[in-house]
Amino acid sequence: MHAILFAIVLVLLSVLVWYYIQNIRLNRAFKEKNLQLEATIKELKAAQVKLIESGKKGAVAALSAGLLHQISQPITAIHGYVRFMKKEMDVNSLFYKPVCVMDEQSFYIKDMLANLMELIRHRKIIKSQININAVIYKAINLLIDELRIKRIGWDIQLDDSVPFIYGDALHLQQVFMNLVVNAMEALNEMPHGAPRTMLVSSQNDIENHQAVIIFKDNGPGIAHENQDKIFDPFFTTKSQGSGIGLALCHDLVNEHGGSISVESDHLGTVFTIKLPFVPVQKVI
Amino acid sequence: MKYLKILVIDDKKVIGDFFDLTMGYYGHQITVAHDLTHALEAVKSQQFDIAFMDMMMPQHDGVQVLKEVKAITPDLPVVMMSGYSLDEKRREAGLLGAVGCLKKPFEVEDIRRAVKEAIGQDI
Repeated sequence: MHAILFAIVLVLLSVLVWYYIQNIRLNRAFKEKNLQLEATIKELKAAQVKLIESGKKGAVAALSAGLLHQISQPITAIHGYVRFMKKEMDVNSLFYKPVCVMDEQSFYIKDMLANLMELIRHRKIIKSQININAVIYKAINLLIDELRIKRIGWDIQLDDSVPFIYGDALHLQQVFMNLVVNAMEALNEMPHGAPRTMLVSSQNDIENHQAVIIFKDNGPGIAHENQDKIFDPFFTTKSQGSGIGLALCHDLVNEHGGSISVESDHLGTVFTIKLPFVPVQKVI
Repeated sequence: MKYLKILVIDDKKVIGDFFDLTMGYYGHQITVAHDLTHALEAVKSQQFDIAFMDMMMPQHDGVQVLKEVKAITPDLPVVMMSGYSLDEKRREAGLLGAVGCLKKPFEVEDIRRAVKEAIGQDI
């Protein structure tokens, strides 16, 4: 009798233990699925925001393209004639100085139009496997004279283990150059005699399969309230800025499946670009 | 310096006038055509050293005008002018024999550079 009771208790206990283990397993699976679901919802929301943004951008781009075409005609006349007049004018003329101001200001409009065209035009992106460190070097090399003239101390720390990126070298070079020019302009605002430094580095973020490229300067920084807006087209804090450079950087990095972000305080500004790796292949 | 015979094909009067006043001032002979018909008349009746042609005209697409002009004067070097960059259109124009592209807004120096690049002439 006791033996039967013991056996029943044992069976019951076994069932309970089995049920308990199953419950733990189910719970774990449920939690995992829940996490996956949350991640999927998050991705979907991000994709939805991107779609809305790209839809808006497409409409704005189409409208702007037409407008730009119209504006470029009178600007050709205004800027072109002013340049022509300045070149042929006697420098002692009463009108020489006003013509110079008109030239300078019309050049600013011309330049802004060119930037805007660059922002909205349909860019043909030609992607290939590229060595991102080489692209960084090239961008800095093209600006090296200007860095020297502006007495900016710069350093490059590139991680040789960064794998190939699948991207358009020319467009990424433009992004890097824009960020260096931005840093130079920020450092220009520093008081006379203050040290001006800029550091460009690359890192291999193996865990997230991405290259991280950092542009750091010790300029006066970007006001906290402006940090969210600096990638918006036409937003600028510079008196002669078009507000297009960083918007273009943002678009170009996005088109590479990457991201760009900014952190800034009174000690300086850090721009971080993250670009996904080409799977498996590595930089030799 | 050689003085050139330049054909400008653009529906915008302001562009034709700009070439006339500036390049004309430097001794070049400018003929302006505001549409396809006038452009074809011009190339049939005169010889030009170079032509500047707008990529976007209201009645005719620049590429179509280029095709018809090139059918009459295949050797005429044509530089396309564009208000904003259209990669596809530029490529199409390039395939049809356009030798350069001048982005609007432009100035005298840009025209000189385009001529130098297109026909190797310093003007």
